[in-house]
Amino acid sequence: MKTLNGENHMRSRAIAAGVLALATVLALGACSAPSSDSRPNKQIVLWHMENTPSRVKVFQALADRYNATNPTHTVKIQVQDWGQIYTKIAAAAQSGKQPDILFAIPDFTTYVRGLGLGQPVTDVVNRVQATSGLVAASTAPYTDAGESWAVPLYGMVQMLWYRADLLRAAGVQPPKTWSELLAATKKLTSGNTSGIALPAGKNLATDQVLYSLMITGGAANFFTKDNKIAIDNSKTVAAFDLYAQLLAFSPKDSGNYSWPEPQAAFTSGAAAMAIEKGQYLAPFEAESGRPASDLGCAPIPVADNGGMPGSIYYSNGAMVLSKDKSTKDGAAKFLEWILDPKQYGDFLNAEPGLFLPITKNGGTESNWRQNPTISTYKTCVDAMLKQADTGTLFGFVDGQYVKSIGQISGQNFLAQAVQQMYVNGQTPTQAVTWIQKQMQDAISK
Amino acid sequence: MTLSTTNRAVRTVGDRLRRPVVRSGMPASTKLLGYALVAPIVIIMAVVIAFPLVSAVTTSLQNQHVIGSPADFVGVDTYAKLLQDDAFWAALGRSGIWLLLNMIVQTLLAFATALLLQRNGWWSTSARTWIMLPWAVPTVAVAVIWQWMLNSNYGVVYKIFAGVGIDLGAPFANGAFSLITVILVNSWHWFPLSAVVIYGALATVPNEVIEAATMDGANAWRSFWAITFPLLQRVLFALGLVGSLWSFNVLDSIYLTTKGGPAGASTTMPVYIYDTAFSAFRSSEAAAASVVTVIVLAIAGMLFFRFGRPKEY
Amino acid sequence: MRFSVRLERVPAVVAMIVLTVTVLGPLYWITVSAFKDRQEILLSTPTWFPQTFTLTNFQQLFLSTDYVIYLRNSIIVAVATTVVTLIVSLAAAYSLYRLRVPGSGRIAGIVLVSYMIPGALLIVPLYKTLSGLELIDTFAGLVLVNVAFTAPFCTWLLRGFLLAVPTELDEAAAIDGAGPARTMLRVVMPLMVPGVATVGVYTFIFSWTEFVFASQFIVSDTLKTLPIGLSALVGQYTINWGLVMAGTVLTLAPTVILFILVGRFFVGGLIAGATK
Repeated sequence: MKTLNGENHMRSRAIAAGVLALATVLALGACSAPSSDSRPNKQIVLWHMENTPSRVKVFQALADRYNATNPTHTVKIQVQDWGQIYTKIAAAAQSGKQPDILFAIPDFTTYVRGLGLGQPVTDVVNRVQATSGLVAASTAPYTDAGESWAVPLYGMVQMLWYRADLLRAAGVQPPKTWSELLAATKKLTSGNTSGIALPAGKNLATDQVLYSLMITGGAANFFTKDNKIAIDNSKTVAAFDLYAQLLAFSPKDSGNYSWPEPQAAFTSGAAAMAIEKGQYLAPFEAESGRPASDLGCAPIPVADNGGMPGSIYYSNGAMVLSKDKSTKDGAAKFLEWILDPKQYGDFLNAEPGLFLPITKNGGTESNWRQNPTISTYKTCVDAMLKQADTGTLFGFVDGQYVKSIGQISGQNFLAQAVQQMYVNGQTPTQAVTWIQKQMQDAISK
Repeated sequence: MTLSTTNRAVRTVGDRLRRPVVRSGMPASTKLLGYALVAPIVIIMAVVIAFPLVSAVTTSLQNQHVIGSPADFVGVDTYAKLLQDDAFWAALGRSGIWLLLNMIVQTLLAFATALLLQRNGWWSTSARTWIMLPWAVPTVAVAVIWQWMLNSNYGVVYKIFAGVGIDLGAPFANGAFSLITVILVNSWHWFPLSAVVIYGALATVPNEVIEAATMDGANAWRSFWAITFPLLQRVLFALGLVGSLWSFNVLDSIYLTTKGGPAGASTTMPVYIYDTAFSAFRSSEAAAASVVTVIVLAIAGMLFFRFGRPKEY
Repeated sequence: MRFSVRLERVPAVVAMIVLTVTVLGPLYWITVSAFKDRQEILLSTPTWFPQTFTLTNFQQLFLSTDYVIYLRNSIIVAVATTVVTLIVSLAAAYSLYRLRVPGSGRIAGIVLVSYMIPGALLIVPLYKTLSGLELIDTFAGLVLVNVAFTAPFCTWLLRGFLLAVPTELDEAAAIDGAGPARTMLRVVMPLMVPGVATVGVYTFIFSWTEFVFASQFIVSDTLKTLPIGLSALVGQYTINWGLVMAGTVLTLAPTVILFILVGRFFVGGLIAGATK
């Protein structure tokens, strides 16, 4: 009996140890996969957040083509998600696991630099400027203290899109000024059709459309020279007022719209107009069942008094994060290769219409123009390129570089102000006072 | 051989050391086995939860802006600032509403479902399998699909309601209703789990008991409260405890639909914390809010445990 | 009499219909929409059945995304999470609720703390921890995190099953000379099969749908799971609804198959677990 008990005691100990070991092994080792650390030295890791399948495919194909040219450094792409990148890059930076190249937009660049990442790429930008010529709006938001912090790769600009068929039926001319826009919106609203579809959700989409109207109303710059907030002025009030009036003719659930909903309303004919970027071109015929000629475009209408042409302009670029000299050079080589007209067209065609060239020769010398979407909507594409010349972005107007712009765009204050008017019934004046205070608090904390 | 001798020696020493401590008469070997068995979960929880928790407490005592950036120690200043922030209290209040309504809606739905699943017939038999499907849809898809179905221009649910003369207005964009819409969507996603658990609990109520009560003249409603409900208490208690903690911290269902809007109407505590940390870049305040949340939940949990616990638990 | 019985059934039948429509309606809608073309899917008068029956969405899904790789990864992660959770939570439940080691009440309480912490702030420190263990961008790291969030609930769920096994069995085994380990493996565990099925399916679904950890702790494209692939379909600016619906259907399909195979066990298991 005693011996038996002894054996059993031993066995429980053995089992106890076994369970512990098994659990640990299973948890930590049994299903481990190749670690990202095992990459060869001569490789550049690139993160981009354009995770739509079509873009993923095109970017990967280009990387493969580049790697086939026997470069000093091969490129390995790892696709990330815009919704997750803020936490992920912060976490990766703290563990030293950041990529060598990171795609970015201007306000995200200020965030990444705040994490202590990012190397100047001024020499690369200067070289591209010399060989291909760069659109001014594409480099400006990445220029700080005389250095460039990202190589611009493509631009995005907004237009007023309209359904030519619906405008014809209602006898409306494409609007050029704010008052014409408002009148057209009213006239086009009937039954199941909204005159315009605008986003009013708490998101970047709302920020962007409202900001385009602020630009054409002369309220583009809402910072003082020493980077204080100066948004509380009559021009901003006028732009807010216009937005609130237009929203009355937008579908009634606009308060939760971001990008896809206005576009779906527009292509399905539930709305006659929309203000957005070039993503409206490619799916138009398939989603609307209408000929391409029914998709009309016009510059964003300008304020009747003191207005100026313009639009929000998003310059998408690539930051170089690696501090290692040879990796940095390898990254520069790849980025310059992308911007070379020989492959730049293929790069832009990852999202034809949405991705606009940022080099002067990119629009003419590359095969971008041969893309069916680009050739079908040639007039609108040309109009977008022209609009790009007057494009700008808040925080980076006229050579500004507001480092705290991330706090402002991150919290979607412009969109929140729209919701104050649209949901809480504030007047434009109240909303502007509100936003002035919110923005001040945000950058002072 | 050597090993077994050593083992025996260790065991003898171990037994001698431990024996006086064990009052319940649990043999040392059993105790050892017990601790070894519980060790994996404790180790995993320590690795995954403990360090982040310590890190949150540390950050909450600093003045960190962008998460992970260098910061100075400021003591409880951050807490003082946080407790003066109206938005914080508003978010806590909304989280209370969120918790309560989610529990009510999900419990009601789950109860109704469970009562139906209990019946005989082809519907109940087949439903026992498919009832779980909403829970298996990834939240990303749940959020996109419900927004699409509730869209005023092409949403099928919206159009069906319009067809019978009910105008849903702006389900996600109306200040008064957006939180409720998100609660309903979240409940659609999660109720199957509770339903199946309650269904299991109901199955233990002996049919004879209910029949006897009916014979006594008790109506269905009274027999439910007098007989079935007390028997369900234990399950409901456990479900309530784990389920509430769980649902309090739901972030994705809200963030993927309204982002806390319109005008903050659906900003619950997790949304507030996320926005404060990753949109406003005030990590320390977010960390302090997290710490306060853990404390509030722990107190609520303890109160619930003390007063909500069924007698025989 | 007959009539009154029928009348009594009316509320139940109505409830059944409402429930069926609530649960299966959206799933039906997702499925039929996956077979519609881009124009039909946005019609302001929805069509109940695809007028333009097309397989384009599924074709595009297989051609332009790595669905098969995501599927493989999801299966690996879900199966590994399930196995580890089962071992960890069975062991913990046995120790806490059967052996009742000293301090088991406290341990059980502390384990629940994991559900009290708002997840948002866990991510960055957790990344640091995983990075220190060289577990970033590995299935092992993802499994470890998943287990930390499933095991506490599963331990609680298994409690009911354990309490259902009469302790007289242990005593009888002890009289027969069996030690605690043998009692656990030979006497109690065989009676835990329904519990294992329950916890198994629960954990499987949790890791199958898990998105936040997977998107933060996985970096390489070859290691991504289905929910990440699905969220990429949603896209930043434009949503191709048909493609999203097709992706949802194909993400859901494996779990439907799983339910058909083991759904009965699962429901049975949950019953036993919840009621004892």
